[in-house]
Amino acid sequence: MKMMRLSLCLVMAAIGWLGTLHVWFRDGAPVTAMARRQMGVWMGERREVAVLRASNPEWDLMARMFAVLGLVNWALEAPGRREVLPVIDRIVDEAMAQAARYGQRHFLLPYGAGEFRDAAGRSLFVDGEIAMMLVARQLLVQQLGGELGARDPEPWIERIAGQIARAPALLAESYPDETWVFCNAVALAAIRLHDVAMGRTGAHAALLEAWVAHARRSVVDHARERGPATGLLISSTDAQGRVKQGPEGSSLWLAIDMLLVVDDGFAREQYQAARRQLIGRLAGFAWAREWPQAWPGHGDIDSGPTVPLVGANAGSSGLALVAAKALGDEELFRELATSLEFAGFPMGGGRYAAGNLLADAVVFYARSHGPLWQLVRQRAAGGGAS
Amino acid sequence: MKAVGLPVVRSLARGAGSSPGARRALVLRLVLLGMAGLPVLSLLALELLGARGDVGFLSGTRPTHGDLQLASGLGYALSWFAASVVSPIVLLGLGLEYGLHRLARYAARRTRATRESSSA
Repeated sequence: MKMMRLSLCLVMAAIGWLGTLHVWFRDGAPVTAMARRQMGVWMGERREVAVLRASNPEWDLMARMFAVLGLVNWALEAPGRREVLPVIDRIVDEAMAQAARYGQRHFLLPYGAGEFRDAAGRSLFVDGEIAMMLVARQLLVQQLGGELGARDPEPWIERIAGQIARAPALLAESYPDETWVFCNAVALAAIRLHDVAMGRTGAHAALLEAWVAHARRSVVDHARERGPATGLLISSTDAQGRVKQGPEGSSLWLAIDMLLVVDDGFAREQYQAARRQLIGRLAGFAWAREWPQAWPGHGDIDSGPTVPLVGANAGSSGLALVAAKALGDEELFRELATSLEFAGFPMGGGRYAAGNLLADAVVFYARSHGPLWQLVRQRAAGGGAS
Repeated sequence: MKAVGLPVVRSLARGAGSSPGARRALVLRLVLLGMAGLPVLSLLALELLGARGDVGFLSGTRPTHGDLQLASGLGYALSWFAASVVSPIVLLGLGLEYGLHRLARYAARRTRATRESSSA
């Protein structure tokens, strides 16, 4: 009888505690604190960048892009935040200087040493992310008033547009004979932003439309040769467009965010499908799986560890924050952010011990997300450069 | 057991009685209390040692100080999840049971007192 009573009490305590645990982890760091942290890191010592590079040199460039996008959003959100410009300039100038001095492979994993199939022999990952930083800066400078100087995105935009247009399956290579939908989506968004910034919204419209039409037809998983279709964008192909890796949360969530400014309807369809297949929710917490159950994948360095049983993945969950915020899915965003506060080990001031500088930049971008995409939509509707 | 100052533990001891079943229940409660306390103590110790900064492995970041940092981060993460999920459940469960036990004793005393006063 006593054992029965004790067991019942423990069950009731478990229900009560687990049902209310999320309430303790609702408040995250203010966006301004995150912006200050990013500015401090990029204007100060680079020990955290060295830690990133020791794990994966790609993360160095990605952390820069997310930091720039976050800072642009933060600066657009309220007037008088011009202090971001020198920080953005330093981040971008360094990336371009390092790519010029050491070659694009400075930002690639060692397996990127082979020959690209494309005649230009360049990585869309590197060119696309630099182009995105430059064009986001361009839009900010247009809003704040200032000079483009030597940071004109035009040559970068023309280079990536040419590379995508030349690719047999409209998917340009990030690594030799390896394309990533994530990188192509970033490049397409950069092209779109640049067209808007220059007041010629139709300049690359045909390429963007052709890419989305091709993606709907051939890059979305229709499971022609497998089991049930996921309907999700696959993550990686060879240069001919043959699948290398199926849908992967950490790639897909960012691709969705980027595609929002390329084709809003397609991005929303992908988001709904990804939400159904990748999101887990329980008692006020949410997490994202890296792979859909219909197409399980294997871990790689970008995915990071996955929690067994529930399939919660740090990389996918972090980038799901970006997509949820971008799509205005407030409920999911709140639950994902709650999980981050619980399992991300916040250190204060926008730093999470479970992550690294890249993870912090992603969270900063997610939390500051909105003003840049909003500006692009407004300018596209208006049609002119301000 | 009188030396133990915690009221819950004193109550557990009183409630245990002397039968083998009651002793087993007492041992179980003490084990549960230990289960609840150990992660909290371990978390406090690791926090003081600065192990919170070592959990970067959760995002796939390579530890800069090798296996020791990995072990420290793993210990901290496990202690945190145990201390924030398991410990409160066990403490709340034991507290709830203690409350029910006191309530049952109070109700029994009231019933006995009522019966005695009505028979008098």
